[in-house]
Amino acid sequence: MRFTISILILSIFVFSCKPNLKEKYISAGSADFTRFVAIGNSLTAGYADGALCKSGQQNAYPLMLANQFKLAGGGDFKVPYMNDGGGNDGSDNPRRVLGFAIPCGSTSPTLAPVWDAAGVTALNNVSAAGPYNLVGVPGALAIYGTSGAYSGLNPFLQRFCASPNTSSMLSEAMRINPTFFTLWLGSNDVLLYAVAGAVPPVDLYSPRLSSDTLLRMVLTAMVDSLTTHGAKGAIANVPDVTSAPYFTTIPWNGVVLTQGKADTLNAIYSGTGITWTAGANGFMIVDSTVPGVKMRHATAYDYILLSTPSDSLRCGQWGVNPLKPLKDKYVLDVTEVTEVRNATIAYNASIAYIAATKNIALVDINSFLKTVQSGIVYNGIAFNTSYVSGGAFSLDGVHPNPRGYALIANEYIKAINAKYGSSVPEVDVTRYTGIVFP
Amino acid sequence: MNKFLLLSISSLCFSFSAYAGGFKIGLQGQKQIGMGHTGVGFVQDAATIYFNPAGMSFIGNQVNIGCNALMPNTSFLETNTNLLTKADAQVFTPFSVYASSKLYKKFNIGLGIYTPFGSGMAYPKDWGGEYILHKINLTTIYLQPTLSYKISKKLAVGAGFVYSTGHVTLEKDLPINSMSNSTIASAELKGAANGIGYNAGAYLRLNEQLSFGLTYHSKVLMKVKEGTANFKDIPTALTASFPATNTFTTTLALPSELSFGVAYRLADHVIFALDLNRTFWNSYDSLGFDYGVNTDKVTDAKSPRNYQDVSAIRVGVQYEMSSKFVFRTGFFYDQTPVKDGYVAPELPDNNKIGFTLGASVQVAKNVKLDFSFLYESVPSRKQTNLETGLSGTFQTKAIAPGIGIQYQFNKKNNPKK
Repeated sequence: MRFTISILILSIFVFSCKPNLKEKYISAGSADFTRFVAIGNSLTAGYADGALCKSGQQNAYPLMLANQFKLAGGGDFKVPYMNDGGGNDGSDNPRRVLGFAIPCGSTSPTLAPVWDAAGVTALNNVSAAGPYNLVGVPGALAIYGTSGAYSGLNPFLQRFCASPNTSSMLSEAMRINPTFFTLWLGSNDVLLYAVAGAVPPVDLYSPRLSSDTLLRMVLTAMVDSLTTHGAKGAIANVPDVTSAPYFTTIPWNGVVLTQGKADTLNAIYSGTGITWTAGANGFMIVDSTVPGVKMRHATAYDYILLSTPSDSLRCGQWGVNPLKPLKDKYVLDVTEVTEVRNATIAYNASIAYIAATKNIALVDINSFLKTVQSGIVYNGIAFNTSYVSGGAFSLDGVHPNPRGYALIANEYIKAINAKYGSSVPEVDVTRYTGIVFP
Repeated sequence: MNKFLLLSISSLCFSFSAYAGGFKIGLQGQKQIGMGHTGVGFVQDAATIYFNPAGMSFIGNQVNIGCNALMPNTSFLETNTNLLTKADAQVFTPFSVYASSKLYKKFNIGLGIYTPFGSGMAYPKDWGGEYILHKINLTTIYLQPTLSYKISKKLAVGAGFVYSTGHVTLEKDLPINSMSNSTIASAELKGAANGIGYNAGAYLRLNEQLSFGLTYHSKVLMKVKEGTANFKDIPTALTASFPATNTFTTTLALPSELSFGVAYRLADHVIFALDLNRTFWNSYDSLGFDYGVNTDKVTDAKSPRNYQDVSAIRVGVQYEMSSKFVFRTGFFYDQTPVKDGYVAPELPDNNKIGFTLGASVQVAKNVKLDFSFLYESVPSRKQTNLETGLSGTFQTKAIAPGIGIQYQFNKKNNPKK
């Protein structure tokens, strides 16, 4: 009996009853996260739902990175927060939220983006409390990265920089004396032009594609400065704009007709060479290259932009009536898509070149968003790039929502760990919200 | 006094849930647990109704009641986030009741009530897999009326009809955020299930030294005919897509099993037993939910499981110290039916190694108390689930002390038919 009891007691000691799994040791590798600065445009600022607001800034990916870096020796991370409220898009409009609206021709309310009832938040000047680790400037082009004049023009940079008309994004970042940096610029150099329908520039302020040579020069100069004192860092590339729901939500062939309606339209269009058939037809779009009528049906290679007024599409005969073809500014047509894609490819070649020659990590956001476009699953949450239901993008169709930003933060972490041999843990994407429903 | 003991033990064990690898529970008889859960080729009490129905022909009239306090501890280390999650500590009490009696001439009759399958996992509300699983509880109780026939002095056969009843509960969060409600949306599936099957065996006691057994447990299809699917904290805008009360049907295939056992008396007071089990888990190829009302968001889902057939080896030794005290120990190795890529929070399985101890004490003329202790280790398994993308390492350790009571009806004083 005594023998058995002692065996029993012994066995309890020998075989522990609890699992012995332990967290892995977290190392910074050859990186030093002590002073981390993040430079970029609206995507870096935490812009979402069509505006920069405090709750968006709290879910900016650089802040997520900083929180993870803290596990590997990172220091504090200062964000130039807006005041509470609905935020500001730079033109005194608040963000959008999901609400209900009655579409034309209907009596029942359906889900639609509406202005945040909290209203617009005035841009507060927080430069006195600077410098900030988050140099995220909505609207910023890569080619303005070193421009001091730019802080006089962009209210988002002006509100936190040391001295307007003198401070550049780069000089603001250098005030941190960074040991580690992330740099994500270039999206706006193609996106602003694309979201405006790639309309030919009319004046100095019109959106246009940046020169690749200039972009490469500026980004190279920025990385040179940032790495002067041996800082390590990561540079992210430019996503193909057609990954964003802003370009893919309205179907190109959204004109669905009965035979009777098609017959009526064919009678109206007789002599133009344009025909309509029962079923789905491409929207009528302006195309100056078409002789005579200067319009044609949209094809699968044309993108109808989310900015197109949906009531006009539903009830105003836009894209159907021969007098109302969709204007250039609402369409990224096949030649414009090619133009925009070629620019993106050139920028990304420059960014990859900089990453390679300056020996910093390259974050391939472009490839990642293409993967998301075909659908990914993260811990049981399915993501794709569909508007609202896809779960990754915010209501503006261009900027991610918090979960989407968390996925992007993880792309940074993977690239940084791979480059510097660090083991910074990834962000738990499930902790962040997706689209918020009323 | 004896009856009181019987009652109090059975009332202790009213909670039926239990955790187990491959959600099969290897806790069906106290003496058998003590010997590594062997009992197909070594018959020593009425628990043979589970292990080998033919064995009833060799045990006389007796009742066995037992239960265990199964205490698993599961941890999960997510690979990417380096976050460690400890599943909620739970105590499960799988139980068994067996009664066997002589019926007529060479026939013996018996009834077994036991809990051969079950699982229970609960994870903290805010863990990284909350959109995969928050809680699962699967319980089954088998009722098995059994008949055995003694063909000769050495050989018997037996078979039982199995009626299985149980229930399943599944809870998880839905990745849907609401403006008006800070609680995340969730889904709860609940349903009662039942099914039928059988259990048959043959037992050969060649001589005082050597005996053999062969048992087959049939597959049991547990059908949930009218489960309820509740969706909670759904934003107003989506209530049409998630009807608050929905129903579902599903079928869970509990696998068949073929077992061979042998027992050999090594010395006067020492018996060695060996069981080999083959469990045909390939019947569990998918888990589907067929909803009463389908919407754009609630669609009939079939999620692949692709379990594989597996083997287990179990060995045990019993030492009869005196007429009053018996001691046992055993060991088992149990393969996991869960293939790489399919390890999920509902069943964080791996090949299992177990070590057991046991003892019996004769406390009165007809009464024995049985004690058992099981230690089980489910070693670390690093996996990425193909369906959900959850990537990490699961590890489980469990202990299960058990107690049982045996009452032997004295043939000479209390003759039964």
